[in-house]
Amino acid sequence: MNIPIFLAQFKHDLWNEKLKFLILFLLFTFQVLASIISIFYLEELLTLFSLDFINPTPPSGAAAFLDYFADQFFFGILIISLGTMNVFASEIENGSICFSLTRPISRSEYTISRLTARLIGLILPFLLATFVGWVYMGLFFELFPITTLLFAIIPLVLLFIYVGVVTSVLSSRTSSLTAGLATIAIIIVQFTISAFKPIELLSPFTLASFWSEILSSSVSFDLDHFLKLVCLIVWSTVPFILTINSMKTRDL
Amino acid sequence: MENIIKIRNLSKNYGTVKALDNVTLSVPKGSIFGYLGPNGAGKTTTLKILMGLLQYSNGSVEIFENEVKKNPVAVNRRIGFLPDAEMPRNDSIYRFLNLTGKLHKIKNKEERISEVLVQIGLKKLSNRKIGTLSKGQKQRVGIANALMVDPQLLILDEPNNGLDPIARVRVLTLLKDLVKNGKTVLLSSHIIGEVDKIATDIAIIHRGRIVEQGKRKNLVKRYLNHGKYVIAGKLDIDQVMRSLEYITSCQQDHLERYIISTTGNVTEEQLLIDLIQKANSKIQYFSSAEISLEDLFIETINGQLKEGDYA
Repeated sequence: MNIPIFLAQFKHDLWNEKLKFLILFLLFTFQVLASIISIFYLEELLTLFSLDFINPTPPSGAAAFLDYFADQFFFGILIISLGTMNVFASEIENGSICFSLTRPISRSEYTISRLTARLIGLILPFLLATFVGWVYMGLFFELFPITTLLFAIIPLVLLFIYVGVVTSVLSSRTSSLTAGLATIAIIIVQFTISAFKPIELLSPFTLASFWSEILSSSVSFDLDHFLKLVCLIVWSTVPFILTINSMKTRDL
Repeated sequence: MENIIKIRNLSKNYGTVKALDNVTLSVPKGSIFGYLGPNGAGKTTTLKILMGLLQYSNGSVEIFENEVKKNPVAVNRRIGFLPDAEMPRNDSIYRFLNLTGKLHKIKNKEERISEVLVQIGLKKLSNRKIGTLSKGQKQRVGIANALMVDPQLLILDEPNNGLDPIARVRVLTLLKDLVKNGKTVLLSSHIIGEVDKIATDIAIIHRGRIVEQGKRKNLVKRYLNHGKYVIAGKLDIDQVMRSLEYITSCQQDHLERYIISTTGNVTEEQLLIDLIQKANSKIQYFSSAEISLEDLFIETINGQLKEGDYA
């Protein structure tokens, strides 16, 4: 790989993500703050609406983040899928990729640059918003250690990367819409698989419960979790390589 | 003369459709090479293969003595290319050209951007987003992008698409100047008149096959024993065509004059006038016309047409 060429392209691609970045940062920040505030005032709200027969979980920072992460499991994955479904497809469809790939840059460099920039543009706002939420949490609850937050966030970020690269490999071969829909179909199948104990490792979604265990401090980082994390990394790497290979050989 | 592009027995299939069928083509160094053909003939496919955007099934493609398949990046470094495609909408003109400059490692990037924008008449718009430009302006940005590298070889796919007459003349003059400075230009077009003004060499492709190729002057010379005449008056076209078998085509222009093409030796114009008048027609105006590249093109393609084409 020609590093200066790659970096020039990467800088350009990353800058193109700025608007998406800003919008997503605001959206994720709103979500995390809303989770903290709603958990803090939950008891009062339930009383206000005469729903005090519901026994809520005790308000805490961990409960707020559990709520926020659970939202991201659906909402975040949808955003990543929507955000990556046109990463290559729209450029291929309208032909503007011909301008990009007739500059002296290899297809692999171009593919890695675009995909990485897009994933950063989608995932970094989530990480920053989560950090803002963690700081803000101190106004309401006792802060749990930042390391706990980092451990809890790893599986979710890996899951985001996985969904992003799956969508991108489809985006390099089909239209944007087909790539988005096919990803959702794949997610549904894999999510279903994760419910079956004997074959759960075939699904990257087995880590869905991981952050709840970490946030409620009941987790010891055992071999099982380690294995699941490794599986998720493998699950993400395979479509990443497939994307590069697909872009390398396809007619444009 | 040294050939800068050498294509030998090139074939490309899209599924069962043969886009290119055994194409052999050479582009001489320092020429303006007009690559002509009707829509869907295989022009863009050929150019995309030259730029490494399409894989090919058979044959060999060499540019600057390098096989394109083996190292497309090295080849791209020395070529300015204008594809017939949409441009990235979100970049400003400056950012778009700046990236080209960076990837081509151009030393005086800023100066070069400024230079090409002046050449193409877009200096004042350099900070505008490409998506907000008109079709012609976008096309000019594409041409500026191709010129950025100060390329040895310029490959332009339909460069005059969307350009106004002034921009068109400007681009044609620019291409002529480039060739004077030792560059080579390969341009594809279906607007024959434009190519006719500047091309030194021609290839005509039809249904994926090269049907004519050579120096422009030699090709047109070959058609000089053909005649082309402009006639005004009342002509019974059916009868004229029936009775004079050496008339190959007869079309009416926008002034309702008849443009007649003849084959073989019609040495005496008076003889032709007499023959037409005998065929139940009355001539008010008659003159011979210069044979253009367009005539050559139409003649060549007409000879290749099959039933169902243009249906």
